[in-house]
Amino acid sequence: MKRNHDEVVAFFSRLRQLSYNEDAFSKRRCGIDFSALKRISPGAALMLAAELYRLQKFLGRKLKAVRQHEWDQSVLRILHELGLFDLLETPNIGREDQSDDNGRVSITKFMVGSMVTADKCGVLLDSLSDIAGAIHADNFIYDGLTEAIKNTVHHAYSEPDQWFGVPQGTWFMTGSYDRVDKRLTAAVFDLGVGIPHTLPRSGILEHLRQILSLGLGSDDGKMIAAAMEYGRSRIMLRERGRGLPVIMRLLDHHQGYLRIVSGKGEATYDSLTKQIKETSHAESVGGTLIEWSIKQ
Amino acid sequence: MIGGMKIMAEKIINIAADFSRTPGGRYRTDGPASGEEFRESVLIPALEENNSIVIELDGTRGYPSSFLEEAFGGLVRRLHLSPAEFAQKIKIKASSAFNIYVQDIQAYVDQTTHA
Repeated sequence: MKRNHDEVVAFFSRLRQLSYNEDAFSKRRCGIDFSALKRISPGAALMLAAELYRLQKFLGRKLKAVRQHEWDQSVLRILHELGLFDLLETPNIGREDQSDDNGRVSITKFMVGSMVTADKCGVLLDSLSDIAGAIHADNFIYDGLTEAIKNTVHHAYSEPDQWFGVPQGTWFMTGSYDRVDKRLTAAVFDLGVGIPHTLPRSGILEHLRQILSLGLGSDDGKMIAAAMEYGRSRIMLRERGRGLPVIMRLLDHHQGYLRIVSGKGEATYDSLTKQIKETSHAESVGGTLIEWSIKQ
Repeated sequence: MIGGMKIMAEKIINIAADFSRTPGGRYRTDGPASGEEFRESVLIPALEENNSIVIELDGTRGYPSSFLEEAFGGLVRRLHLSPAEFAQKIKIKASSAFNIYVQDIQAYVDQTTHA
């Protein structure tokens, strides 16, 4: 997704259009076929699980994965490890690993919740330890994960008139390990309104406008980047302002990055350069993806 | 009892062993092992029975900021403690890996009392 952001987001946008506006899955027999997919990142895989979770809730039935013998083996294995086929009507797919990539990247089974169930963050860390060995940054990852799901529960679904298709506060979470790069990744995703949309509610928009010299319009990427910068620069803020510094604290101690993709914006903080790079895209990601990635 | 006087011992609370290895969010409504639950079911009862308590932070997965703020900042608000009274009643112990949370707790106590 980092490499093909626009294509990935366009796929999800089209899937939502077909699913909820054109009701395509209700009208005809459909299966899930990813034989055209050659590679999938952990973040995109988590988004896919979230979207299919919502779609099945909308339809009131489970969908089948089809033509799996034509799928790329590494994609099949990643989605199997993620637990996607347990979510679908075809749980046995991918059980026999025929991977041709020697299992370079392993991913943990995704979890879903709608409360600040921190014990699930502990379970994720246990699963990550199983595939990556001892994790020396586990308390900072734990803090970041719980902070991210807390923000999701309290702020992500804050638009009362908007249809989300999942219970208030719903979050999705997974982790992965790249054995070649020795890179550990953890990710939280929600299907909410997006951080740029919730910032005015947390009372810091005016400060951000001063930093950014924003007019009445706004730029999602700049808003996320400014919220990151604001969080770091205001460490004595009362409780609300501590969320982002805690989410970023991992990067004070380990080499890696924090990437937040939310609404139409994207911002990445790199621990080496200590710089935040931001981008704004044409289409919304349809929620918020927070991804930490560190070198073990 | 010694010479008719009740001796109030210093109680040691290890959060991982005595409460939860996975501290949660702020309020009970957020989910299990919240800061509010820790304050109300562990901290305050312990302070009612002891002059001072020692809190050991090591052993958990980590600490969400809202858990710490509600547990310790909330305690200061609830019992109307000054920073000196807090320091007198509660000693926080942590290894170097958990020392960052001692600083967090101190910041929450200072912010709360100076608010």
